Amino acid sequence: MADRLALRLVVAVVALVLLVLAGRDLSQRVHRAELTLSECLVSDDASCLGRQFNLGGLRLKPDGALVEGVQSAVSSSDVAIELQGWPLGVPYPTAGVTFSVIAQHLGQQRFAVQKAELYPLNGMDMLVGVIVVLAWLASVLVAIRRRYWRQDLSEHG
Amino acid sequence: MADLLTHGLSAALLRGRTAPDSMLLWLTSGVILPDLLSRGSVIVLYALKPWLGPVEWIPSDTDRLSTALEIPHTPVGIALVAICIAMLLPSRLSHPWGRWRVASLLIAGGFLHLLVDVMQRHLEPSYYLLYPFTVERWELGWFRSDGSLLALPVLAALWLVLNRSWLRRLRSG
Repeated sequence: MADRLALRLVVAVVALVLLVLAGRDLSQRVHRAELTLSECLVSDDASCLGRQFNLGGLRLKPDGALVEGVQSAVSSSDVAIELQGWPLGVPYPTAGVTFSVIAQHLGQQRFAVQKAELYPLNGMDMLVGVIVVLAWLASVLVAIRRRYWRQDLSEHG
Repeated sequence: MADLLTHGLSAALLRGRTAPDSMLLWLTSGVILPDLLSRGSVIVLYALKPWLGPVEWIPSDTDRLSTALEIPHTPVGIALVAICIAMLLPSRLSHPWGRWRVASLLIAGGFLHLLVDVMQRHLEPSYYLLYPFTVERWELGWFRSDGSLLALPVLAALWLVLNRSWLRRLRSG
């Protein structure tokens, strides 16, 4: 029994280590030859041309000069929605109304939007997600309680 | 990503006309975990960042962190998470299915999640389906990424129709 527990722990730890290593590897492989939008904005690197940037992942301010390139290509109200769409200040695409852009490099630290898409329902998506996760956690807790309660009943009469 | 209720309902619809049971709970857990671990963890880590300070293993760049945490949202990551959970699960909770069956149900749920997600359309394909063999991303582009919310009433109605007899029994006690 103890050996089996040790074996299980070893398998679980190996799986966990593989997960962490895979995460690092994926991140490195994806970003090795690429620059992030923030890097592109200051570097004027031509390799930024035509890349997709997810603005939901950046803390861009509407008064920032570098955002102007983006603002000029989409309506200012869209940008306002995007910037206000982060509940709790969480800069993440699923956390509010967001949009993705493929930016075109204009030189001199300026970018224009080549292609953009708004996701106006992402805020609702987040709300639904929180409700579902809470319901799921509740059902897991109920299942655990039932399982232990039943077993205790059968063991102790 | 499609919303989590759509994912949850997809698991319930796959299970079909049966009362909720522990098999459905494992399947639903498998369906929820990819988003919970990849998207949820980014949100939590960034919320905690002011308290964590500079931590070496958390990439400082949001893009890189999001990519690293994309792993539980890949087929390989789903399998590793499922194995991890199944191995750490107390015996009482894996009963009567057994650890490997629990892992299989979690993996089936995770793959169902990917199947729904891969039907979406983003500006560029979003899912690393063949990692670690390639970091190329794919998707089918059949509906918008936030469009699943519009399908929710239909899915919910379908689930209610399929389970009306069970719901009636539940109501009558």
